[in-house]
Amino acid sequence: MINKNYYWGSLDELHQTADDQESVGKEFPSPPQEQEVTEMERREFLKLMGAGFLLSAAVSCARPVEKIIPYVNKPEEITPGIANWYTSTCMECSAVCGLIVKTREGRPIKVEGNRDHPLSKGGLCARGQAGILNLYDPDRLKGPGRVNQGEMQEASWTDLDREIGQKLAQIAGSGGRVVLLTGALTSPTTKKLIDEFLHRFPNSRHVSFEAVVPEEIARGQELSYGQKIVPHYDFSKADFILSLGADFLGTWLSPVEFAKDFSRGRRAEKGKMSRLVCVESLLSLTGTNADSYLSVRAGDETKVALSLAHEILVVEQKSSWTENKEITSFLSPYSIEKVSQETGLEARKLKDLAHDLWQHRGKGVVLGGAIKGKNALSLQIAVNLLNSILDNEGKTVVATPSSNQAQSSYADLLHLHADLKNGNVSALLIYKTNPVYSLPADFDFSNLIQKVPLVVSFSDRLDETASLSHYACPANNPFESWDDANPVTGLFTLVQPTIQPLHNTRSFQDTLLAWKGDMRGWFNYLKNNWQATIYKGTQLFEAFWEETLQTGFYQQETIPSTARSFQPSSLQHISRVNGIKELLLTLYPSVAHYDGRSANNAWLMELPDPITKVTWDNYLSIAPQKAEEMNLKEGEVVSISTENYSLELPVLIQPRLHENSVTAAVGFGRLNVGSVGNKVGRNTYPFQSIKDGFLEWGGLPVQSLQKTGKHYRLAVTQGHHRIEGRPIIQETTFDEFQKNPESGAWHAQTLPTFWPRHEYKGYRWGMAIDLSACIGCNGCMVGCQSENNVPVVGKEQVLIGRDMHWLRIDRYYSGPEDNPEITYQPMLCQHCENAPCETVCPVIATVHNDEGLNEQIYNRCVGTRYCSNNCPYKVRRFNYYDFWRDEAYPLHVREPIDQLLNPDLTVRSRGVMEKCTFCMQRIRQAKDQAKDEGRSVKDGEILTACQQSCPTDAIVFGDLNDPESLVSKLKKSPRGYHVIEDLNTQPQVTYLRKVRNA
Amino acid sequence: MLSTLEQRILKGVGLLLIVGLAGTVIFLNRLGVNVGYAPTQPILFSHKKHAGDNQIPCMYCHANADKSRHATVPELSVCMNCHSVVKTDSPLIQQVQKAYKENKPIEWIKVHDLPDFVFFNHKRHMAKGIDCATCHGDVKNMDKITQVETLNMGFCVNCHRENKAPTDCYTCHH
Repeated sequence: MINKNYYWGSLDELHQTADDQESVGKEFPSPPQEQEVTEMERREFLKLMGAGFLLSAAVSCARPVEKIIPYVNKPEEITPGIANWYTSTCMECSAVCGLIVKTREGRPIKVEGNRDHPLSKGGLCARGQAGILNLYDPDRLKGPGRVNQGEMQEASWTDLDREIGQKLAQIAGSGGRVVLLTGALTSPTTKKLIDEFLHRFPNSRHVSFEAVVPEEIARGQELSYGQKIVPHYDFSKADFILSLGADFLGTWLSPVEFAKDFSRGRRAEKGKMSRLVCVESLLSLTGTNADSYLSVRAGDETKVALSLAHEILVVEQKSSWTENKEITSFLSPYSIEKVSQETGLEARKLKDLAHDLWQHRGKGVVLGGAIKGKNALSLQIAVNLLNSILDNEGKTVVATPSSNQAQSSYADLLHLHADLKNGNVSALLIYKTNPVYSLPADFDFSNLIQKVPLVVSFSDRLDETASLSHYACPANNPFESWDDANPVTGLFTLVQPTIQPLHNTRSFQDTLLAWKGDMRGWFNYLKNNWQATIYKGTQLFEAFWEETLQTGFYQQETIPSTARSFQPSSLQHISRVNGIKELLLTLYPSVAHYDGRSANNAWLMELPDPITKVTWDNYLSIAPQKAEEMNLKEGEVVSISTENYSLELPVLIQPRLHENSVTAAVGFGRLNVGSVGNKVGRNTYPFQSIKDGFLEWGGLPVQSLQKTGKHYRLAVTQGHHRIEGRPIIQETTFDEFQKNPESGAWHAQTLPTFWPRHEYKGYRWGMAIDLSACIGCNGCMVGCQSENNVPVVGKEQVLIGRDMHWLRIDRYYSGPEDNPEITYQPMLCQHCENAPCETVCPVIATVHNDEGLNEQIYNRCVGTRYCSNNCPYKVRRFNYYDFWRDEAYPLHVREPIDQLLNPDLTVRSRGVMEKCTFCMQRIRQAKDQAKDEGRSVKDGEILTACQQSCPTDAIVFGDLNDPESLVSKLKKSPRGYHVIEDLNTQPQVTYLRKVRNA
Repeated sequence: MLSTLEQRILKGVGLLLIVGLAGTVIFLNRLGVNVGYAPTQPILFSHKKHAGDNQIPCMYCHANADKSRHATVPELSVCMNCHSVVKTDSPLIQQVQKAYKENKPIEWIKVHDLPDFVFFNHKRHMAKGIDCATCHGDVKNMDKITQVETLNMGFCVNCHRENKAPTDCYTCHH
């Protein structure tokens, strides 16, 4: 039963449980909702139907009156029907990736990665792409006001400026303390403005705190190298990557940049493939992509790191550091044998790992660890030691440029806590952070801020913190105002507004300037600062500014740093964790929700978790062995308690998780975020505890884990489409691949067909998807949703298999149940040559065109769903309801969401089938332009929405009739295969076999 | 043998059925056909006067027809190019001037209106040299714009077939 080549989507499928077997072969996991039985007679029904038909016919005769409302004065750059693109910077997290924003008739409708950006290089994650929906969130505050007991009374900016200005003047006069509490800011100009603003108030401070930032890195660096910085990790030079819990492909520091560089080092065809080893106590997205995975108890990562150092320095006597007695004596209790005994890891594996690390010295990188992990600071120091003895320091881990992406300080927050307690704070201004929600319960922030005489919130909604403030001064959405960012030293990027503020809001910076009595306005302030302090060139500033607006960034010349010397004394800060036998709870930021800031974003809510494929919830992940031991089934609700908190959560059984770990995502259970996100999932932040002056949420000892007898249905998307053992994934190892590029191949016999072959005289569109490159981050899913007006259906509909994503990422397990291999496969309409859908449509609503596309014509579709039933790939989506228009659904068009819709394609109505079109509106646009210029479409000119923002360039689209196009070359690649080839559907999508560097 | 009354009734019923059927056929045939549609616009703008008598080229006002999918109705500032000096005593022009001064756009009623699932591209048709009148009729002689062609799918497809233009569904529907 369990062999390496058997792929399964869920544990139920693997074990072929009764529940699972019942649903095999069914199109939908649960039967359609039954009609209510009514007393109506057949004749009466016919009468009513007839009357209804007549009535509707009569109504449809009356022509709807539509209006054309032209501009009074048309802005010069706008031509209705033609998109304008602006460069900007993503402000969804402190990684601040480069953006380009598509606007139509003055409305931003889509964001994509900026291909020229030095860090993100055109990639953009799911959260970044979903950010545009936050702009049009109907639950945003419409203007400023006074807040009293969580109730908002609207007021004008003039009144508030006067009122707050007076209070601030009083505070300045009496020498009171003003504290500006912000999230992790990367904007140099905003920081400068904050400093200037606070200058008026003696004893005032700017405190940065954000929930999901690996701030322990800077402290570790300070101890080990004497510099309190976050180094820059260069994956483009790393051949060997050891991650001790750092989810650098998902949520750690700058995931898009890292994923881009990581994937570039893993192109098997180039004869070079980096190796990724993960040692983790929770299963992260990075862990699922590891070539070799070692699962440990939370806190044991440090021991593993030290044992590797011991092996290299003490046992093998390599590296010049061998002479250093301080280090070697410190390492003596960490022999591999001993650590192996304590952690349960195989000694041989650790020895091999140490050997590999040494082999790749100077070309490897060691990363640690999970954000807020157990003993995080100790792990940082151990990691620094490893990077130093392996000569990675100064090569793949550099101090210049250093990163500004983790500027958050819990120590400063503790300082603020003391001040709040003593009543030493006269005014607290809160921007871009939500401490009441994200701090542990015993921090007591919600009570403490009520002692402060003046609390002002700049949040765009009355969130958990803002509702306890006195004034709400909502800041603009990032798409509405100017800003800048400085992700790493020497790199500066601009945020450009692409729309007038939708509501009566004002940028945070303009508000500060107004209170400071500075009448320049934020834009001038920003531009002046760029001229005075950022721009170092000799060109005229205006020309430089214009150019920077075009490119989106400015790079100063920096001198690369050399290796810093490790200070052995820092090892004394490593605290020893002795064999914990009890169950440990670890929290983590999920890929879709991060710290929970965009919990009102319906796209993100409906985005399945990359690994568990659960939508609309958080849950407690538990290893299969543990579940068996406790006799727990998926969906059972358990009550879990630690020292700080206890909570009821549904159980999800997660293969590959360490049996001593249970994990749960933060970012759920918001109370005041809006109609979409309120009370979705449970808030797990209160579990956090404090250790070494840091918040810690890794390895919290579980005091009790008990069944409650309750059951809860988790909306999992993976179970919807089953593979029933079909050969849809193919894989090989790098060694095998080098010997034989076609290793791991399985090809079906070519079957005869009764249908005439299609002829393609012009273009023939096709796609290639590299399973080796895909890391399963889900970025493409949101890109597709945003481009193609794909609706959100809500949890209830997902539960009955009616999710609407045109592109999904299937996650398959293979191999042993407790530590299976994991493979991701993006699955979308395959645009088959012999399309099974086309032959069964009774109204010819789905047809093949002369460029190889399988077309779905909405106005012709009558909704028989035969096509979906006959589709072997299960990629067709049916509109059971008017998901966009019906108020029952989360993304129904409440103003102003309607402004977000892409006007280049139809918003589908109830009763029609839809599916991936290969972004045909983009194909048409490119063809249109090519025709104007009297040429044919160039290779790489059309990027589908999924391809454009893919952080790993796993998707390639182009013309298969052009032998020189990248996609035709990939189609002929020895790695190429088609999914379910045996059905002779002959898809236009070629998958490239996965290559593992095992 | 039926009585005369019965025969009469039968004839009557037959006639009614035939009339009803014919009516239904005609009715269904005319569904969605808007030939002759000529709504009254908020300002009585005459194409005859502008495009006909004064021979202003279509593209002077519908300036994006060769650039974009939409031909676009001109922004008020284009009207004001002439009407800040021409015929300023006319009450209709004063209406235009007032709207311009108050920065209030005029809400024209769309005459040639395709369903939302149809994507017609003016630019491509202009590039092929299709005369505006092919679809919009003899606008030069219309005081009030009236729809003269059905603009239904048959109308489009016939022309596409005659001119060997693509008839792929995605050409218009996506």
